[in-house]
Amino acid sequence: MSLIVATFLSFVAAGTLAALGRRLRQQSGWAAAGTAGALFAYFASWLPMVAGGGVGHAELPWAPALGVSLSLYLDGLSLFFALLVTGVGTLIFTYGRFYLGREEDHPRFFASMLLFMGSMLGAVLSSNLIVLFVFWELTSLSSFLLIGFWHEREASRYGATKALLVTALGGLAMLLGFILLSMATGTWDLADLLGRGDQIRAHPFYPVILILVFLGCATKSAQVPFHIWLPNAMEAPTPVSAYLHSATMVQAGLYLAARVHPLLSGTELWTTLVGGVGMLTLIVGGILAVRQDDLKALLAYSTVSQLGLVMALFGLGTEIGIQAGAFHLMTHAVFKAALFLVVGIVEHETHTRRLSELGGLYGALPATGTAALLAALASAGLPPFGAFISKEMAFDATVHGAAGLLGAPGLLPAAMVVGSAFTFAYSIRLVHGVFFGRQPGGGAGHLPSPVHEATAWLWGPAALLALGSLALGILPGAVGRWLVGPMASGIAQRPLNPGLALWHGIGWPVVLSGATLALGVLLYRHHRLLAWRVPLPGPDAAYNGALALADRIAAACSDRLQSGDLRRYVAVVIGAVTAAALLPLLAGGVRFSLLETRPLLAHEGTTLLLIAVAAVAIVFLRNRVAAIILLGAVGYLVGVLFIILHAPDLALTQILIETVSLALFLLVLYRLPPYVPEEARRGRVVRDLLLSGGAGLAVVLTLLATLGRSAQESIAHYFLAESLPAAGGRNVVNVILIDFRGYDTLGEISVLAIGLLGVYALITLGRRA
Amino acid sequence: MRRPTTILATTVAQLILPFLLLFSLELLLAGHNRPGGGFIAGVMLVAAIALQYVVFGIAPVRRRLPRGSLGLTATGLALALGSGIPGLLRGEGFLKSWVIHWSLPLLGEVEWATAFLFDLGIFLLVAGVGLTLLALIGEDRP
Repeated sequence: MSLIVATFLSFVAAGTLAALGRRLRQQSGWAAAGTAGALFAYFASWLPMVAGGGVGHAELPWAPALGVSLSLYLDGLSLFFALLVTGVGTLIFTYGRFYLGREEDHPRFFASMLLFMGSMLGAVLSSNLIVLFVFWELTSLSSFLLIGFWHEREASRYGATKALLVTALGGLAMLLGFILLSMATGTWDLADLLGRGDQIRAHPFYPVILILVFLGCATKSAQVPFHIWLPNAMEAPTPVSAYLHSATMVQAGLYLAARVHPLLSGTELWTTLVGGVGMLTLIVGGILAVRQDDLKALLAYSTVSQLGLVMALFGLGTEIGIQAGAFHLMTHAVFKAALFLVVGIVEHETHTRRLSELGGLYGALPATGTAALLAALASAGLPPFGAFISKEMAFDATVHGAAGLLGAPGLLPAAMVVGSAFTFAYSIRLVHGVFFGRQPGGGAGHLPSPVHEATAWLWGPAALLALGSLALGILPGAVGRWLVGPMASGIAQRPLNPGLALWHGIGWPVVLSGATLALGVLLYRHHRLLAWRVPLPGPDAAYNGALALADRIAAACSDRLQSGDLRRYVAVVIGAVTAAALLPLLAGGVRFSLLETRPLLAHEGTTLLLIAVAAVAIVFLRNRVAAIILLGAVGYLVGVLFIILHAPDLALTQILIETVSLALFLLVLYRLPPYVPEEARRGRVVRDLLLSGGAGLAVVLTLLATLGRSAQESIAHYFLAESLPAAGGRNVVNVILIDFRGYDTLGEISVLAIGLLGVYALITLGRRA
Repeated sequence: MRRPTTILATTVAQLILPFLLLFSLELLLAGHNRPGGGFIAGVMLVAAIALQYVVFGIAPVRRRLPRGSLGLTATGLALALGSGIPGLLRGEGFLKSWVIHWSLPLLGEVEWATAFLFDLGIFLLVAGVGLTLLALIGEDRP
């Protein structure tokens, strides 16, 4: 239960901040950081239990009849992510409090950040696939809000939309994969699925499931060719980039790949797909990163590259691959968040983040520079940082264990060396270009002089993270026991105990590290050679082209259908509904019948006759007001019929609705242009006759088909019998509406509210235009 | 815009309004056991206000109505959603109604279901939607 409260605490905090934030203003950041810190402490208290091999469970049934329940599952893997999300969150919210200017909308920013934190916690903790999907899409949504935080900028809007479209489409593919997964196994519960790997791998759906679920991972974790959204996402304020787009959200894809590891890994398809895409991403991201001039773009591509490395390690499907992937994921999140925070400080103090305009800032920014130096050395993979160990483990994993990618045993180690050499090159380029070397233009360039060191609240979080990546390296025993071990065991679903150490003796890893270093130095010195342009259209062009095509199709459709002629709209709507109702009825297999027949009583017959006369008369009226009133009369007469047939609820509803719609109708009429009677053209008369005749036929046939169902299928008896004992109500109609079929009603009233928003927008916007 | 109205219409409209509102309330409260319910009660409320619009014109009625019918809609939706939570917390599932029996002085045994909150949400939402539509569409032409 406490797990559920912890998961939803961020949402409550976000709501509170959005509602009351106007009072807190600039202090909103403290509220957010406090929430994150409390959650971090809470999750840290789980550590001893989980490190001892235990798991946490919590469950709230949601729609038990459908097997959907809000169930949470906490093992080493989810616990690590929960600690990452809340721990880095605490530091970044504190940083954000001082990063955002006085004039910015602090409450909105931190409410969105908390919304994201809650969604991310939900995604990594949920045990039900549907719940996981919902939280997964919520992270995309909150990322959209945060990238578009400065929504008055064109580039922010473009970046936000791109990130949302790419990740949400991947999320939909993942949902399809989940549905197939549950069809194959009959369960939605992850904890239950984890033990069923063999059953799933043997199932004919397996390849489709794998590809669909991997699409979700790949879009979220910016794997090639879906990496295109990440650089555009850098339009977000830097704390967002540090939090969502380096440490947490982009790692969600890796989380999912790790989570489904026991279900889907261990086949050639898994190794080729996950390993191959990851390896390609590692190299493409590295090449693109070295070429960048904008520091945030450099970091974005470097993140792409590192995410690819971890993905490739998970793709190996071996124990050592899991351990190396888990540890590298950890070290990368920490040093990359630190680097982002450093870049944020540099931009904050110098108002630029172009490498070509920066240099020699170490003297002016000593604290920031030290943090940057530590984080960059970690990123470069040098000892004694944690990333050195994780990289050694990665070399070890690629050399041993796997049978090799695409049948070539040397391919993976070679790719690893090349990718890591690029990592080395851009890390050194970043820290050297900004803090050391000479300032371009001899100091008289674009920089304000003198540049001041930022407040400790800004460099403090960056320094803490940089020290963290150092600690990951010099305390390998503790890190292995408390973090990497439980996490790797959670991924593999069996106890794994990695022996982490800085020095493993002479072996392949050390040789490959040496080769990496040599190649890295070479690449760093000659990085300008990499500035070539590829003249081919890339995935970016594909994205823009697809978007333009969708716009064109949408415009063509609405031009055709929405001519501005109301009669045409009505004709299209009625025609479509009629066709949708008639086609399945006439397709065969439907039994029509009259349940019972009896002679009409005199007052029933009179009412029906009046209805028919009034309906026919409407057609021949030339006055619109008279026609509408007559239409109302038809409605009231139907109400009378309901009274005769002993249906008081229906009659009441019918008569009231008729009254309100009559009033609305008359009001609408007042807004319309004056009525010009048209020439009754033959073609139009035939079309209208066909439409109205078809609609009438559809209604009658639907009624007859309803009556044609056998009596056993009817659930009316159940409702009548259970209304009072189960729901405590004597009015069965009302009980059905608000209790038995409450979900339906909830859907209907939501549609009503959405429809109202549409009318509101139409009328108020129309007035403004 | 002044509408031509008769004294008869204005007098009747004024006299009948409290009764219409009371009837709407009765529909809402009695809905679980007798004809009625949140939906009908909401429509009844809208119909009562629509009558005022028809007789007195848009602007005078709008001035006397409290503002924020859009907020009423949102409140209704939030209440309907929120009414599902007790069932969730009891472990029976979202929206599962919870029937409570109380023994009260004077009234005797009283039955009350959390589904009423759902019904109240529907009432607020329907009333909000109807009132907003009337006000929006009824506004004088730009």
